[in-house]
Amino acid sequence: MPSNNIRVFLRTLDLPLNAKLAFLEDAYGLRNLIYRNIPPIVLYDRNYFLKHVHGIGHAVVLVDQTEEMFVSVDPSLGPKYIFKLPKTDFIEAWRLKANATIIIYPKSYKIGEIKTPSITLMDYIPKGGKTG
Amino acid sequence: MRVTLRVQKLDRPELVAYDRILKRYGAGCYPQEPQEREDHWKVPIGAYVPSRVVDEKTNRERIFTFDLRDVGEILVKKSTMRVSAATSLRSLERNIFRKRAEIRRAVEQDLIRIFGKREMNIRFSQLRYAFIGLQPIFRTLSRLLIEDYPSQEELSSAGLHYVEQVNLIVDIGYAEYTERRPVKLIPTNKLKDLISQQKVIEKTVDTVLGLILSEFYYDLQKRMRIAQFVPYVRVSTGYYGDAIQFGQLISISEERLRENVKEYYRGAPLPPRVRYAYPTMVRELVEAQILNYDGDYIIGRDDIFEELVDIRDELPMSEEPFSFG
Repeated sequence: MPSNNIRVFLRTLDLPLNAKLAFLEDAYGLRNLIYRNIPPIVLYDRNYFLKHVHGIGHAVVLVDQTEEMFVSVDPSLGPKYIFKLPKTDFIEAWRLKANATIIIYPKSYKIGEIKTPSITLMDYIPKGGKTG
Repeated sequence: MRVTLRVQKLDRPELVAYDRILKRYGAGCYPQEPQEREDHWKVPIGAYVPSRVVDEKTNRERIFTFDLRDVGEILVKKSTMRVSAATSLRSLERNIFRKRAEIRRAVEQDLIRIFGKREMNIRFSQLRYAFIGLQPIFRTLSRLLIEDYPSQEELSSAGLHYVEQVNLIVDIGYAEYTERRPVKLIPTNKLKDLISQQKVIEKTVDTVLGLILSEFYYDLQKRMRIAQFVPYVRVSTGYYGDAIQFGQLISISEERLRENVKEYYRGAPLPPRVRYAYPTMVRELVEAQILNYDGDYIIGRDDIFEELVDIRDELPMSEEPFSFG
């Protein structure tokens, strides 16, 4: 579902919730959100995660984390919805979808953003500091 | 409460395009390699379209994903790094249907080509409804085979539509007009050889009809507006299309096959024959030896499938990891 439709859907439900799409810089943002009880919806390349073959984006809700795992709720795996994703493999597959994250949060919260260049430092330096 | 997140700046055309894709189209689409233009970037859009194939007898299910490229585009202005134009969602959907139709047409064309192979022994004369539209060919062939040669004048008097169809027999080289007057339609040696090999008139008619259909199916349908054969081809494509994806013959119910035809030809109007006389049509396809019954299910023919299965490698599809084969 397009993320704009999620916002429209929340509005029609008349819930005090807001939604936004963000391309997080790294997994620290995910940990931050889970820690603040805002379960992020992440988009990752499940084919790559499982078979190292690029494929369609797959969305899951991250509800918890351990030292090495993210705990996800994945409706496609019903009736057993809980699926643990090893962090290192997940982060790689998530990066292939540009770290795309949909954040549904209470309207009383304020989500501030610090914008950083999208390319990595390794890419950034050879281009003489130019982005894009 | 305030939460501060570090997010990536939308400073690359593919990222700007991906942002638009996720906001307006959904996660099934993706940005392809950006192309640099004078004052903007053009980012073509690709789409992953899932397809589920089930063998109902064994209850095995496989999920495939079609990777359809160039179904839309997003233009990103260089100076502002913002979207200046993008394909609408409706156009994107239309383009996805068009791409899927191209894939379906590839299967359909191969199937039609196989219909023309004599060794397949397909009994087209059993497809009774198709015969209504192909009566001029059937009647003329039958006359040629019993050595009752019609004159050109006689054929012309039946109408232009009639002559057009009869001329298809000439086009495939199985009949010709005499040079001497009165001009008559006579069989060529090819047709004589065929009847001497096959001995039965009905079988010869089946072979020639198969050749005509394999050569002129789209001509018959579009130019001559003879559509009676279309539902049979669509049902056959609906079955073999799924079997090709699955990688082997599958057993499916009549209901499932009907759903396949709807799905395969989404956007195209469903011929009345598919809507109202569906079980009869399936029975005729079985009698014509294009499909078979497998108890309560429908299954294809091994030799037809073997001829078709090579196209599987050309389909832009992959299997989902959670598919159970």
